[in-house]
Amino acid sequence: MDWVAKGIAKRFDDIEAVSDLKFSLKKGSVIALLGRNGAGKSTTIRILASLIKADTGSFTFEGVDLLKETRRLRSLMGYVSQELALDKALTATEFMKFQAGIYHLKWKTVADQAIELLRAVNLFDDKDRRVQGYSGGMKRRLDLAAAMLNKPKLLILDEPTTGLDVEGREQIWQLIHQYRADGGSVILASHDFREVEELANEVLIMNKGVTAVQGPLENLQRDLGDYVVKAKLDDSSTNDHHQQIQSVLTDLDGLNRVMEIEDGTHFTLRSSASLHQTQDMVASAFDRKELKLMSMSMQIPILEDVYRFAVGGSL
Amino acid sequence: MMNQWLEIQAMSMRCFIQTKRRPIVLISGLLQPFIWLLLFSAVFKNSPMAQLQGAASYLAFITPGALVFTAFSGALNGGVPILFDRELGFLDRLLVAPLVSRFSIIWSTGIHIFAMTLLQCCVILIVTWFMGVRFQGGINGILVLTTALILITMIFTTISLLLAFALRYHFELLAIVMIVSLPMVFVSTAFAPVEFMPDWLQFLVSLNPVTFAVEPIRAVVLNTDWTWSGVIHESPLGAFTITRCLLGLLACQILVGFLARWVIARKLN
Repeated sequence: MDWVAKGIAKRFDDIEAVSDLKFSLKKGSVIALLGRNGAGKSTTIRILASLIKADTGSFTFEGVDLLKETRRLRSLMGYVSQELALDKALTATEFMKFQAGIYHLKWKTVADQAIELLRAVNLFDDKDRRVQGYSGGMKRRLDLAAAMLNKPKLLILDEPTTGLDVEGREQIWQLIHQYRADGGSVILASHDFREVEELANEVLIMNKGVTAVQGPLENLQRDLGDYVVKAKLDDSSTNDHHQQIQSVLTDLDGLNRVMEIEDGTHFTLRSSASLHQTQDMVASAFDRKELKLMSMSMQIPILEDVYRFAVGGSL
Repeated sequence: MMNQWLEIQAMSMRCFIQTKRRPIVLISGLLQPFIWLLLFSAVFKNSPMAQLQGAASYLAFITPGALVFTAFSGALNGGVPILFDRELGFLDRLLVAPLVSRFSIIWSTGIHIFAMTLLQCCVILIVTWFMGVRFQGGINGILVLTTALILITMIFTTISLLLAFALRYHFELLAIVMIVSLPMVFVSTAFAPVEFMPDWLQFLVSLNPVTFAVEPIRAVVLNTDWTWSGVIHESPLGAFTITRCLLGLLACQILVGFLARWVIARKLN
């Protein structure tokens, strides 16, 4: 069964925070929201988590608009906020007990499940220690375990690995993979390209409240082209970089997208040739125009490239 | 109903665990009235006994004031944890849970504050008993004392929670508590007989809910022959009886309750 968001919009005074957001999410899938600070990710997450009301739009599951039936939405989802919403005075066990209470689960019936979750997040040995003494990673893992206690069908995660080291991030990712494998769906807001590539099968890139691009990651990469080239001219080669580069690009076969940003010119090519052959072809084009390159790199498009071309810059 | 009880229980337990783990709040809440009791009974040791409403000592006179002061200050700070929860993002955890009623957040805070107040008042009564203050009012007197304490705690907890939802930061609430708490106590009969005060102050004293709580408690702490309708305090607004004082407190609670419900419902929904 799909989760379907349609026409979600939210305005704060003069600012259109989110405009006409739509997506659908299948069981066992992860959609990632990407965007700069202020792009509308957090507003979207807070609307979907029922923390703020949308001006318009719907978010349906099994035919019910959950933005209207907010208690039903709350019972179906687990939410992990960007801030660590934990009580440091409590132990992990006490915290799970608290979480059970606010989800109307009798401790006697969920105690075993709570302990299993703490074991799964590697906190079993520390379950009777106060959260105050936990590392950042342990706190994040506890937060995620608590969000899973009511066996949610949907997890809404707002930058769940912020501030974690590599090992901590991978532990959280492992849990999310497991949750997906068990049929759970995830809406993930993240700043971390690596995280999105690891977890998401669908990406929605937001820019100034509007959806810039949206779709399965492979499709977005394919739409961009076969190769992404980042070229920067030597300062001594010319005073008019832009014009000179344009003259090179017009000579290139398969040119798809071009973008000028601070660190040089980024363009994408469609080419059936190998990476090396294409690289030689591009270098020759610059040589023919007698332009010296300070640097040039070429690669198969990755999410970061999709993002750059969608919003015209980096995160 | 059962579900609402589960959520109130979970949130109240959290408050009790916090108090257990951070006893300094409870201890300072107890120390403060004792400091007042010791200081005031020393300063006013030579007060004319005739004006102390039949109290055997100034300590006996101000013990009801200390009880109300304890309940009042605990209640007035009751909204601070909610503001901290909001600032630290914890309130979101509660707001995304499928609570039967978001007012459970308010009820659980109220239960915790009242339990702490009751504990502190029991300690004050026990300690002052050892210092020679004897509770004279009998079983019905305990009923009056408990009712007055419940009502004054409810009134100021409600006001504090109302402010917690109306304000943005905890320091704003703390500033208001600091500005309001001492005048509220001194513009009442908690620590001084009304006869000591100028007329204009007596008028304000007779409007203050703290006075409505102190006077009935004082009447039952000091007197064996108290009655529900006997005059316990003459004010510029008329004669206070225990019944009128308790009804006055109830009216205050209904008023602030409606106001808080309106403000909090707007903020929570």
